Amino acid sequence: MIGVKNSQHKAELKGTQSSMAAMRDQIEKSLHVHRKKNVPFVIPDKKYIFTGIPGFDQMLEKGIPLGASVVVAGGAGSGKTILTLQVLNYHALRGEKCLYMSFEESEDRLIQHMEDFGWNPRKLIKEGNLLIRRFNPFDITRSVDALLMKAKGELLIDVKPIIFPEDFHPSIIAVDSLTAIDSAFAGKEDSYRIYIEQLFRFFEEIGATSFLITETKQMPTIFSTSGVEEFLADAVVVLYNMKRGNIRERAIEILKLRGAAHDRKIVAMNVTGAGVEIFPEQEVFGDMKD
Amino acid sequence: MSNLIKELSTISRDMRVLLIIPRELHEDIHMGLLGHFLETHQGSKGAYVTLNRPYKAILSAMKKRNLDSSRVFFIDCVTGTKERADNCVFLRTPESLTQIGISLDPIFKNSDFSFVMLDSLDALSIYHNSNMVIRFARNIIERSVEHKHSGIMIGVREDMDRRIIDELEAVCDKVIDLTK
Repeated sequence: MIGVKNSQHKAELKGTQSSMAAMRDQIEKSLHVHRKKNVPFVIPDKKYIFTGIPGFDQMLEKGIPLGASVVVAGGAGSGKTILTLQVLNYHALRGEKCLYMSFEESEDRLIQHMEDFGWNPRKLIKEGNLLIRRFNPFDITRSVDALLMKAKGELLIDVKPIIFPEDFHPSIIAVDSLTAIDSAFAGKEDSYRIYIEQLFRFFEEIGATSFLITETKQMPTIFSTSGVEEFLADAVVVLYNMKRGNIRERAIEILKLRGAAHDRKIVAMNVTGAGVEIFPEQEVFGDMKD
Repeated sequence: MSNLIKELSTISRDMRVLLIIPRELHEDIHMGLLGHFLETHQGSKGAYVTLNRPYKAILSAMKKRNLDSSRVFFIDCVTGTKERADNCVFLRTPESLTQIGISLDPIFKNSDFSFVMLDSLDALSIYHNSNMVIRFARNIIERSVEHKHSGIMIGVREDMDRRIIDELEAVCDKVIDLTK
């Protein structure tokens, strides 16, 4: 009997040890270590979409209203590009057409970023659900000149603020970044504002949900270059990079979300080997000053 | 120690406790507490956040007293990240309270776990100002209430700002002061 008890105890102990090791792995992965994780498949209310970012959707009551324009603001290295790519990856995996418009990094580099997190962008591109395209911000300034001519009645053809690739009708669009577009308008701030208004209106007309990245300070108090973007946007998500001693801690806040309830807290965010993860219960203890 | 045993008998399963201790008898108190939690939380596990004693030292103290360490998960902010153990996660530094909090996230959400011990508030005070220690401790208490975990925070009276004690007294279910 003692032998039976001993073997039972050993088996129990082995079970406890493996569950403890699983807990350790889970924590390590949340902190920094590479991992591959299945994104939960959630069918939201048809009028709302989820981001697929672990923890982020828990901060939303129903999701992001379909067709909303979301400004994603943050400093260098705060995780804006990864977060946005992750949203597109999540939706492209579910068969939606997603377009990533880069005004800075090349297509290859963005694909590489995605592959670094264990995603498979090449497959999504091949299936026609993901398109990553690099645009020249100076082409935009030319289109604005045409828009202005049209407004004055000097140009009769219809001008769109963005020319999409033919036969690709995206439902999710990312623009990386508005700051890069703005820099091409140096000295022509009014033209930039006109363009941004047209761009927001255009996304609204085609019914696409858009994620528009803006580059800010590490602890931003202004969330876009001209200020007009955050006013026009339906939602503003702010990424912080707080300093605490000689370390930096990432944090995220849903500053504004028109037409949907959401948590109003600045909470912890980590970039792991599998992408961005948000901890809605975890407040951050870094310095709120830049 | 007899004081501690008497006080421990008044702690029920779902309570948040602030334990104020004198500098001496440190190990005996900690092991007495761990033993109490393992006894009263039969069939479940607990987490031990250590900021002033390495995981291995706690493990050997537990072994000496015949306490079952397989039911305790450690978050060690002392040893450094080169070590590895099944039931421990090693953090680089106690400076990042957010990282400690993130490490506790899956523990709070796992129903197999039912208690969290934080050792100690005075060690946290070396790295952080009192406001930050209070904010962190309150966050841990709020989360343990939400997830119905027992929570115990230990601090050496002489090494802690009085304000930390006052603030946490207000949010804990019980304060045990072994210095009196």
